[in-house]
Amino acid sequence: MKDFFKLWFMYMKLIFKSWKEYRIDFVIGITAMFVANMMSVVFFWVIFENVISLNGWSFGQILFLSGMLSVVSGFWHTFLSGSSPWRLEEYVRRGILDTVLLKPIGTLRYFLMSNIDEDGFGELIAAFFILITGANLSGIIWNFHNILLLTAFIISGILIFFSIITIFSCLAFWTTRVHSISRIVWHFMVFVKYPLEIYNPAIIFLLTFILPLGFINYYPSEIFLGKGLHLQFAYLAPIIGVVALIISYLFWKFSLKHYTSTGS
Amino acid sequence: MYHKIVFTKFKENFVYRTDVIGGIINSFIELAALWFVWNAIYASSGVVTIKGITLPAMITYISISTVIRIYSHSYSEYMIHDEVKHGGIVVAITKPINYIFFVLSRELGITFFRFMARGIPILLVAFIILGASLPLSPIFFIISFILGFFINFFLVVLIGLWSFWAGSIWGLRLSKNVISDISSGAIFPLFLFPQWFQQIAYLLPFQAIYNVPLSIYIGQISGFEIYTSLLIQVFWFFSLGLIALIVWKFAQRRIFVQGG
Amino acid sequence: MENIIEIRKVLKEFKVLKRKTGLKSSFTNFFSRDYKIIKAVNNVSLTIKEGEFVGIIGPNGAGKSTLIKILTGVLTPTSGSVKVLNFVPYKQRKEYTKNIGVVFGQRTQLWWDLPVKDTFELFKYIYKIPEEKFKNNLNRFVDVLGIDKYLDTPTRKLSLGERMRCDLVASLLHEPKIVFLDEPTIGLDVEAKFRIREFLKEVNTNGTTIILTTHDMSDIEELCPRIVIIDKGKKIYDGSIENVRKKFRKQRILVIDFFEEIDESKLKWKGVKSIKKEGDRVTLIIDTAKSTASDVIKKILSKWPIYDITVEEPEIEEVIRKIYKKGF
Repeated sequence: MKDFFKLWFMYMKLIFKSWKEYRIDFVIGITAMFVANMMSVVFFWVIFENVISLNGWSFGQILFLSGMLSVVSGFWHTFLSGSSPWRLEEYVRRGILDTVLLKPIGTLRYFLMSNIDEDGFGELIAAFFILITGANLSGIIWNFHNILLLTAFIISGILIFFSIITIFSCLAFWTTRVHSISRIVWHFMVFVKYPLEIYNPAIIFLLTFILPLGFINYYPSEIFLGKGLHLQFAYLAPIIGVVALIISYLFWKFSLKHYTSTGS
Repeated sequence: MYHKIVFTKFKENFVYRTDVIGGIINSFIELAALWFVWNAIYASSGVVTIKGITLPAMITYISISTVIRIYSHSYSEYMIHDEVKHGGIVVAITKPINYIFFVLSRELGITFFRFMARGIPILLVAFIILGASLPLSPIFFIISFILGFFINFFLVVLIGLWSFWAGSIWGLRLSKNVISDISSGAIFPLFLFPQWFQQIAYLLPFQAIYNVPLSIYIGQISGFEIYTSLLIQVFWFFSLGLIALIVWKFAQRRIFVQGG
Repeated sequence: MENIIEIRKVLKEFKVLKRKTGLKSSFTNFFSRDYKIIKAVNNVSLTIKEGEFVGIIGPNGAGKSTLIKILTGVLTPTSGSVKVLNFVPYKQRKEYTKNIGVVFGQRTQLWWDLPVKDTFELFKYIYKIPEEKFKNNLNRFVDVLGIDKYLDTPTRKLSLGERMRCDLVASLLHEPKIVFLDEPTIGLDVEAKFRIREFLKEVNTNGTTIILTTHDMSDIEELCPRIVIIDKGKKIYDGSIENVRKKFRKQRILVIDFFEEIDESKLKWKGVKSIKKEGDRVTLIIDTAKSTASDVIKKILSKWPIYDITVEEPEIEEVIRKIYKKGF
């Protein structure tokens, strides 16, 4: 166990070092991401300038909903995107996946430890800003209970999000054209930025039971905002998070096996 | 000569069938989400028009906007960047063709293919399922649409050429896309924005890519205004085109001095 | 000596897409695809003992890399058994890889943007090398290969030769029992090659088994007492390089420079296997079972004045090429 932390620490050291090498890119990346993410606030703001509500949701409530999602995806982007579909596809395409397989280290572990995407910080910071503003505008009180609950839901949201994306990443072991397929997840994310109840039942079903993105922000927010379908699904989120994680890990190992038998 | 390049790029794309299918699905999802959102907005606010636009018109607006996005999210900047970084540009220059025309031909090939593979399915869904309507002044729209393509193209080239002076163009491209998304009227018509914002946006070239053709399409602009809007596009067409050629001249000089 | 590598009847098949050109084909390819199966490694068996230095050679696409990937656990064979160091490589990857070192000629294992010594330190943690051992090995290798000036240089700034040396060090820090080298001297200049070869000899003398794939015949001649020739997925020769030399020592090559172009049909004596003429120069291959070089030279001198003459043994390269064509 101690060895694991030593190794992780070593990777951190090297990653920070390489940031110092490209300081300008570092700053541009974070700034650009921050601005890009704040744009969604502008979008919502313009809509609410012209209409009063979106299905009964106020500006602040929409911000809260969207903010929860962004915190999860921002966290993933920063700390967990080492195993993103694009990175994996690059490794496969350039033939360097083999160098990972030749090391006495778990492949998934390697991908996650060896990369922290500093751009994600921009997204993460913007996300917190949006979430907190939304919470304040919606009248959510920052007491111990709420903060604990929120943290728990964000953690389970991260597990769910990470698992879904990792399953798509595994596609890199099956085919070379990973890029367009993986983008599907991001496009479905657009759906969950808005309250699920505006969609038709088929889509709600999809985003609840098949691609459980709804558990990242929508169902938990019911508890905080008192809005939504009142299905009390929120407390399923942590369970789904753990189950999704297990499934994605198993699929990863399975896909890797496939890769090593069919070769490049 | 150039039409061969267009043809080749067109053919190439057939190989990547998952890309094509993925692209179609992605565009559908984009459209679907927006359709639901706008329906909910109109329904829950109990209004028939927002600043004069009806729901069908708004749906039409975002559908056609998705079609424009097919060519506006180009990868040519990266291709140019790669060619600069890895020396391919030197090879390109030694050939008896103008590099800019070469990039244009390539872009056209890819765009034609994408229109076929993605644009047509989107349009079919938009017209048949979502209830989008046909353009009120088709000829003006098409002229505006084509002008918009070139304006976008020149911007893409300029960003790509920036590779000659900077290590990576990724930040610049992202900034352009962000500003474009906000100020171009791609996501919704510009006049939903407050006046002060509109005045800034109208000064930028991005609205000439989206807002002008789209507004003509849904009839938000009519009569004399169409002519003035087209004129603005033509202005951007020539000025950006000129700037692109000048920057290219400087870039070429840089190749000969630095050797690629 | 223990068998350190034992593979039996290894078969590796790949499905490959059949591509066609033309617009119509592009369109039909979109909807249905045609595959064919190729046998990259075809029923290969091989036994290697601890401490050996084996060279694996073969033309491009012969299946060398596929074989190495199977030996290192990166690929799973379609059928057959593979045992290295008493592990089944592709099944016990994490345990197995602790004991091997691999160097690819074309790709590096070093972090691109960071100083070489940072990658070395990282390996210390990945392979769990004790501090003492790490320091000793590093100092020793740095000394022998002369890379102390490059320790602080980012990988991307190194030349190919410098990078190759650093990759070698990286692969040996954890004292693996076997080292696999895939084209390690490709693109290097003579001095760099020499240095690396000396280093590899020393490493092998210390007990490390080395498996080397290469196109470079001088690598083979310098380093590998044993060679395995792979062509079209099959093993067509496995033995000492001496054997190959002996068999083809039965030939001599005469290169004669005349003062003018002569009629080569007059040279068709007994024992002359082949004649090649280029202007004033004629190259003869002589079968030493049927005649001798000196006999042929006497016959030539009696008929024509000559400007210069050279007698050679056939190049190993030529020999190997012949083996590709005709089999041993």
